Amino acid sequence: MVIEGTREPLPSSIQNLLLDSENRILQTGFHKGSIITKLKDGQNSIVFSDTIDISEDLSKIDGLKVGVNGDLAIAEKGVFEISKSKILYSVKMDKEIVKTFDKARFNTSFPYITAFLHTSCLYNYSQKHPINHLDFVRGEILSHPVALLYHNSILVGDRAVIDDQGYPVFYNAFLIQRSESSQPEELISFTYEPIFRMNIHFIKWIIILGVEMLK
Amino acid sequence: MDYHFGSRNAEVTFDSAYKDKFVKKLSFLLPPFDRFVAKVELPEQEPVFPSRENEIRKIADMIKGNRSMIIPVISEVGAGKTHFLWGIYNSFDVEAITTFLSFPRSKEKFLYYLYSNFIKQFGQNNLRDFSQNFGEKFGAAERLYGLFRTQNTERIVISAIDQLKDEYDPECLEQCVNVTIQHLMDNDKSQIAERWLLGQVMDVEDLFLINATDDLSNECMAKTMLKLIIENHNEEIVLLFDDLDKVAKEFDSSTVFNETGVDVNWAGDLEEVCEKNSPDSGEFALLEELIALMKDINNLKIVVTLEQEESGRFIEWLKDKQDKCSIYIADPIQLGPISLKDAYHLYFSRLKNFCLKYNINHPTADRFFKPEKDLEEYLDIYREDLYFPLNQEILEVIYGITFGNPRQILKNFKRIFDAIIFEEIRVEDIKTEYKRFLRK
Repeated sequence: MVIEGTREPLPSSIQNLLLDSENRILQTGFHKGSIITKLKDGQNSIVFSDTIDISEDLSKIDGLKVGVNGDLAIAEKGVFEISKSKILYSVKMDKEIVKTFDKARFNTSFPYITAFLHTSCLYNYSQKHPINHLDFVRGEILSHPVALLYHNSILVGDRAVIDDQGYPVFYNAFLIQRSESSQPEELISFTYEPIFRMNIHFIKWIIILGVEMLK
Repeated sequence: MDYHFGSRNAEVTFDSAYKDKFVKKLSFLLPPFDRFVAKVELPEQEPVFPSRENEIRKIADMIKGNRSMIIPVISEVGAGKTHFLWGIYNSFDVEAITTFLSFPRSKEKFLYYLYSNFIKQFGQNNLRDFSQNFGEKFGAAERLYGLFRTQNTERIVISAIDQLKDEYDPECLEQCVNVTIQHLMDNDKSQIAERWLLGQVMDVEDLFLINATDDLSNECMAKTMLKLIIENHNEEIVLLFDDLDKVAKEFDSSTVFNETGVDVNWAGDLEEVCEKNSPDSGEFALLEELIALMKDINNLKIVVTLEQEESGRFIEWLKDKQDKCSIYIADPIQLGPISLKDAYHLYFSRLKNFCLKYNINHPTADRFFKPEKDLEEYLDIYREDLYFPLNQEILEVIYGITFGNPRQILKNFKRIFDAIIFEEIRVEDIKTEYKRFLRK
């Protein structure tokens, strides 16, 4: 599925999709790069790492796991050994996108950016534990936002602002989109988005990463 | 004779009516030869004389090395030293950041004056680039989890201090590195850090926020920051100074100290109540300060201008210093008289800029006309009218009597133009009477 309003997705090669349990893709071995892994746990977690060691049964990831547990954001760093069945997909980000994303950081034309010390959940669509703090931070520039979208797509930004209508606008962001195509090379796509505004109804959760986690 | 001009395709004639208009407009506009002295304070847009482009290329090659050096530029009065420095400043051949500075006039706050003058020219953008390159050199570029930049400023500061501590004053280094890294990574404090780096005098509250005890008006701090920027910037930095000999003579080497050895008279108004101490009086005191700075800062490149008459003593002194320390003193670049072709270039380019600025019709006011290339071609078309209101003979006579000194050439152009403006002479009579207005 390609979400409307986004730019033309970059052609992604099958090499970027390291593991996809729904489409039986498994590239065993040790991989290096900017790796993002979506788990199939109750917390809808995402793991960011620079390496992943994939074997037939277990994957070993040394990274940062973020997700939502009840009404709390979780952020945990360490080495995780995760069974294949618990991983939805694992992708290695396109180098060019990471380069562009990295280049647009440290932009001093945005001097008043609010950086949270601890990881916190801004929004969670849930029947049991709904969270919506969007109004509270309206107009503030927030650093390091991460969002999980429907169809398990992932949006990572450098900065985010909640606009007048209460929709989040991500700046210097990239989007990982899942596709329902039968062609393996179209299963996943990456797009770089300098500015990305999204209707809140497409979002499962938004987490703001804490500075303490990035030390 | 009537013919077409204006641009290669334009259909405009330069007949006697246009000549009259040109002369009339001269009388109420700023004439083309009124400015005959280049100044440090006034950015010079006029290109360097074609015959001096080689000298600029020579300097561009010289500064490519990784050592501190002084490159003296010597010429007679009015031969275009300052204009030449502006030529270096504007040149695309010089692959370096060039800053045109004026010398401090006294020993008091020497380094702060130099730093604040330098940083003003260096600019905010270069400063931000410097902070970024400096931070990345010491670990700010590290990607956490393959994606995020580290927020651990303490680790980067410690890493930078560890690697640089042997060559710097430890206390000043700590503060300078700390503020530079905050400028790069701490969004909340970035603006205050930038003000500090731009050399502003800060109050205690602001200093407290960026964890500093002094601003750059502290001489040691200014020297450390200057050293950090020059040694760690990814591009060469060249400092251009004008009139070394003149400033050296006026340089006040006295400093007033209080009991604790702190200079209390940096404003220069406490001489009556404090003891005066002048360890390095004499015309070489300024150079002593400069050489001391160059000993501390690696890869510091300086171009200075000197007047021909005074240059001998200064060059001798510098060469003597070269033998005692590792600073390289380049062979002086001698700026001789300009060529006749340069004089034509000077006349036509000034006239062209004047006509284009005020939208005046004249054969030189053709945006395709380049005096250094197209002179022959345009002379074939326009003949003597290309020189209007002067002529080729007048230009050659002026060049001859001034011995190719550009300031004198400009002054003589100005005298004739002034005579036309103030109606001391009619344009038709210039050919016969111009000599009355010339000065050697």
